Amino acid sequence: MAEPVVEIRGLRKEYAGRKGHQVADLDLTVPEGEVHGFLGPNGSGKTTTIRMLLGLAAATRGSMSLFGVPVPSRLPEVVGRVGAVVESPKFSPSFTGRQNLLLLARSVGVPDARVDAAIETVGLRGREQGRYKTYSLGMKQRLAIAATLLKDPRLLILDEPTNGLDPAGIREVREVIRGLGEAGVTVLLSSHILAEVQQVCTTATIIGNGRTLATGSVASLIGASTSHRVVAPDLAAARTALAAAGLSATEDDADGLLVATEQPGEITRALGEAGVWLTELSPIGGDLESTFLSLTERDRMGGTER
Amino acid sequence: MKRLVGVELTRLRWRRAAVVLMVLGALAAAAIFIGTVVTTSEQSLDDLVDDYGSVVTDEYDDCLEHPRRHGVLDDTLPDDELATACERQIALGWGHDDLDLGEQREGSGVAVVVLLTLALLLAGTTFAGHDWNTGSMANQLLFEPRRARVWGAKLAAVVVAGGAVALAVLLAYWTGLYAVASGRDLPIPEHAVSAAYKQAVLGAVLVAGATGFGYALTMLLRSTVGTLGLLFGSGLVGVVITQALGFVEAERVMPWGNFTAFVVGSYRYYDYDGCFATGYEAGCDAAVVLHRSDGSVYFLVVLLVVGALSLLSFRRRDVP
Repeated sequence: MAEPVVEIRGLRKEYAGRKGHQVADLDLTVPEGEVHGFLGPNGSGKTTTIRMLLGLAAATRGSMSLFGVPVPSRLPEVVGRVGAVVESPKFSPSFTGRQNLLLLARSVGVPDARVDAAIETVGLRGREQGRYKTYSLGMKQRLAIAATLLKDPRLLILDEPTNGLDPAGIREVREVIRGLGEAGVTVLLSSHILAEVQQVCTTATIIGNGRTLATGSVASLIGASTSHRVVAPDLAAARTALAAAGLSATEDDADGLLVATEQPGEITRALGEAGVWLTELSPIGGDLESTFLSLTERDRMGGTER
Repeated sequence: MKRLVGVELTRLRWRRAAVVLMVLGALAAAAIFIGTVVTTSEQSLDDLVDDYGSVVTDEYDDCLEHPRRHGVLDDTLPDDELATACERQIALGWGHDDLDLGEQREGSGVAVVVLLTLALLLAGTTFAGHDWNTGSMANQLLFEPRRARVWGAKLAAVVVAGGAVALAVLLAYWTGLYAVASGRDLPIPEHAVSAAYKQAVLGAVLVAGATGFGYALTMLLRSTVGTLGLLFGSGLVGVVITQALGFVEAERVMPWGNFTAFVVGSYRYYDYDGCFATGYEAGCDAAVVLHRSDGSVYFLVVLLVVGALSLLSFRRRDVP
């Protein structure tokens, strides 16, 4: 296995004056050259984790390293190899796109020519002299990605990079990410768009409630699909019976329920004991979405209090 | 570090609001300059009549009839010379004072420094506030994570820019007044010129400090509005301090006296309570003088306290 580019162990983040944690004992490993998906429901701690990794927020405890160098203590040694977009793009609205990039580039001694190259790469040529506040959300995202390319990064950390993009923009960004991955750049892609992760990433980590729920190759995660489709004449009674047995059931369509469990026997026992008879019970073909829903739902049901 | 300071100077140059505030400071100085030149210009009898009406005419006529009453001691002057002498005496009484660089140092010169201080303090505030309001601070730290360096580079940029603008404006102001006084053939003591330029340098130092103060306070509070609110609020605190300490004691710790002491060299106020306590003994001097050293210490302490808190906060707190 390749050396990990990102390694996080036992990471925890608590806020003073607030009960509970934002991130709790989180582990994350991203091997070199991987395009790694970082999945979790809203508020699960993805952005907080990324912010701690990049030195924008302080960890309460735990260890983190980038390229084998402990961060944030020695972040300046490796920051030149890391490009990142955290949450929504944030630039000076009254500056042009090019001015914003120039300031960032000059702060690390990158020649101005690189700015123009980055603008070209993300397809902003011709609009770079427009003020940032006049940009569409898609253009802002592209500018943020252009900023990450200024340093010729070996690690790219992208937090919801396709947020607000139109379908063409999403495809372009995916192509850029895929291309960077093929060029040997390690990518950590935080996203709630599961199809995106499934299409672009080779490995993924799923987190919930600030903790790691599952990690591995996307193929192995999909293979461990744990959902079953249940069809019964009385769906409401079935849902009640399943809930009473501690099983999470969500509506699949008008006729069926999606139950998050690896054991179909749990379903038949719960429904049989409640006198609800099945007309169909089938495992759901593996996809990341069902894995994600199954894991996060299970975590929510038995989750620790924040 | 040099590179970072250069980047921050560019950022400052591109920040329209900061530049507008600097230009406003310069325009305010220009307005005071024009006002000073106009209000110290020589006025003819007609100008005075226009300004004050018949009272001037009456006095002029009286001077022609009774020159000695109006300070024209030679009553043997021919009519045309008497008329000129009376005009001069009327102008002395009713007209503008001559342009005196020494007087201006304690008058319009201080006003220029006050306005520059306010404008540049706001420029420092808006410069830092913009980074927080737009969230671009986080972006900057993704490129240069050494926060102390970022903080220091920004501080250096605003202080250098604020000081340079203030120095240029103040030197231009005093050079302009000197040129006007010379053009009017007014006597200008040599020490008055050197004292004026010394005040320009001291004023620039104070303005640079105020720009840095505005920046540091905004980096601490992370909001332009918050900083402005605190500055306005501190006016109310000043009232509370004055009430608590009494007017005389409050003079020592309020900014104005220290400001004047630093720029002009000394600030005088009167502590009559002290004399009252001693029963107004003969020779009791109620005057209390704040010296430039007092003002220097005052502003240095304020800057160091706010600066240290600001840097500490920036290094330790999470950046949104």
